[in-house]
Amino acid sequence: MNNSLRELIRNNPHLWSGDEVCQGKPDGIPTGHASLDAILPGGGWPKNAVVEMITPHWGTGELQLLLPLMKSMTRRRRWILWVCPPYIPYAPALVNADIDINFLMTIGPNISCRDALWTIEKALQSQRCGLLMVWLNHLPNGVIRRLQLAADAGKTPCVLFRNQRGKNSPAALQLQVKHSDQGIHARVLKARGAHQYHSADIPYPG
Amino acid sequence: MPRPISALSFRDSLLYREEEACNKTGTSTGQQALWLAVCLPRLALEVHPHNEIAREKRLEALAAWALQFSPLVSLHPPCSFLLEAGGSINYFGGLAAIRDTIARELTERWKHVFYQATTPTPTASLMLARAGCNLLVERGADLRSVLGPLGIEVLPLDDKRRQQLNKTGVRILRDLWRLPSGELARRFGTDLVTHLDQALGKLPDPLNAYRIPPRFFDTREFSFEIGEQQSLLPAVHELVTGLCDFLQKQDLYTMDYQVHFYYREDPVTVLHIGLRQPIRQPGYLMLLAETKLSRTKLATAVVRVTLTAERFYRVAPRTRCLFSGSGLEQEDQDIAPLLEQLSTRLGAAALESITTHADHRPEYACRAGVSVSAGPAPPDNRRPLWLLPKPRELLNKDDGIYYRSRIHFLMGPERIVTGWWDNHGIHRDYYVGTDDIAGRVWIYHDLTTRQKWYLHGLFG
Repeated sequence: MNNSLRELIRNNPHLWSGDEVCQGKPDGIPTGHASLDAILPGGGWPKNAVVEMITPHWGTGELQLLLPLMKSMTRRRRWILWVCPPYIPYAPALVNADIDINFLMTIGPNISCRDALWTIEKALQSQRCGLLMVWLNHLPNGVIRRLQLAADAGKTPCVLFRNQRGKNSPAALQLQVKHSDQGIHARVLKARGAHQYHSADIPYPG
Repeated sequence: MPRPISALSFRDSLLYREEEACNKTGTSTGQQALWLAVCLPRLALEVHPHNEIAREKRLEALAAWALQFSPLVSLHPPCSFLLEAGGSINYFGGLAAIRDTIARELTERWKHVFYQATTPTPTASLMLARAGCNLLVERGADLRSVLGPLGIEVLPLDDKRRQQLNKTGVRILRDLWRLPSGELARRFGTDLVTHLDQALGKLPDPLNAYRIPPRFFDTREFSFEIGEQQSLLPAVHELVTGLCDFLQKQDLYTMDYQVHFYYREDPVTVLHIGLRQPIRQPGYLMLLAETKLSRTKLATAVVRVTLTAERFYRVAPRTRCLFSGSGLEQEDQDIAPLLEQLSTRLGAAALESITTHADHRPEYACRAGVSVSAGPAPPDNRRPLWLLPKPRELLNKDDGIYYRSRIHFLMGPERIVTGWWDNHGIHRDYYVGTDDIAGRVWIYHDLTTRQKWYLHGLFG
């Protein structure tokens, strides 16, 4: 890199060198699916960040991807909040997946969007939860940015489930999840610190 | 050696305090204890007929009122109370003054019909007052002859014993005095003999002292009207801190408190702050008040704020892990403040835990409830992560079953026939299928009436 370029980067706060970001160690939380870990920049779910899961409909495989994370969180006695779940989380299936349902709590779905966002922000800031899972479709980027800051400050990961992809989302990771013949097809739409975006097929567990 | 006046409490500190109080009033320094019993025979009728609670409340109010005459007041439901008057004689300038004041106030202020009797023992005073005697007996030696003419109805006896006594020709207490106490105890039980001995002052007579229940009330008056909610927070903060100090000193915990906002003209706004468990941490109580306040619309500018708390708990709500040391058990405890804060704003119904329930009907095997306990493990792993609150009917064409697209069957059928005993019986064949768009689905064929296909769950 020549000197004038280096000078430019040092003096302008809006410019940074891409390889500094990408050189980071694999500090993600392992997803429990080897093929999914391989396509995520940190080797797993980004820590303390907002992850967007974009699916055409609820229940096309996105929850399966999170089962290992939920299992490890409840095993460490960390609470998982389900904010505005679209259907009933079915306890027998969760128990079968080895998740300790004593550490799950659902909030809503009959609460206003305002209340839901307040809940998410408080829960993230409190640092008391292991994971937040949120089903809210219409969130402006400003709100996601705010949640991203709260997740970072509260050191708590937050997964937003949405049906549509928002443009220029401030989330650390945008993952598109679809059903495929092989099982679950996951495609990275955006990931902080990645040069190229890949996709992976994850077989259905069981 | 002075006789103990009464056993007041199981806790040493309180007993000590009462002794101290008695010393101050001179009871145990040679001053004779005199017990003034007041019986209100028509209390129930005078307050509110058929209303037990109103009667109890009135009796408690009277006891609180009687505390001005003596530090020792004891309630004897349904319609009597006792107070120790001996120690207050000097203060009021004679026993007659105390008796007259009580008589005047009961008639004029409280408007009750009453009897009052004063003797050296609580039991004898109560017996006499209940028997309708307005008497003063200052010497313990006279008790025997004074109590003699009372009928045996004044004794706490069951009907069987009373009939037994009647059969033996015992009508009044004097008849009992004549019988040897050993024989009496053998035939009618030691309780009777104990009671008689307590009446005569031969045995100590433990009483429960009445205490005014704790209540917290504090107020902040503003010299100017405050319109902004943010500006009210310091005042609320002071009040909550005051409440916490009060709880700390009294060794109490609270589960609900109220904050009132007064305006110059508009009706008062009340915030009810309820908690999920008894606590007294200032930060915690303040957080909830703030949360609640931010959700409340105040009518206009506020001139006065008050805080009241009336229900308290003595127990410290602490659950500790038996096998501590792993360092993990603390984390799940710590979520309580967050859940408290959430339920204050969203309402307790918005928060639900997830539990399993031993029932083969899928919709009953998962119950949302506040109690957190894991039920038995379900039979196999062919269960979806999402259950639809209400099964959704599927399109049934000639070539297959359609949800978002045609469903391919993967597993099944799994027949579930159960629930015939409670009129919610089911007779279904469950299948696991895949839909190219919707993913893995859990569907069933209803075999009971209409032979239709339904979507019941999504594997997520």
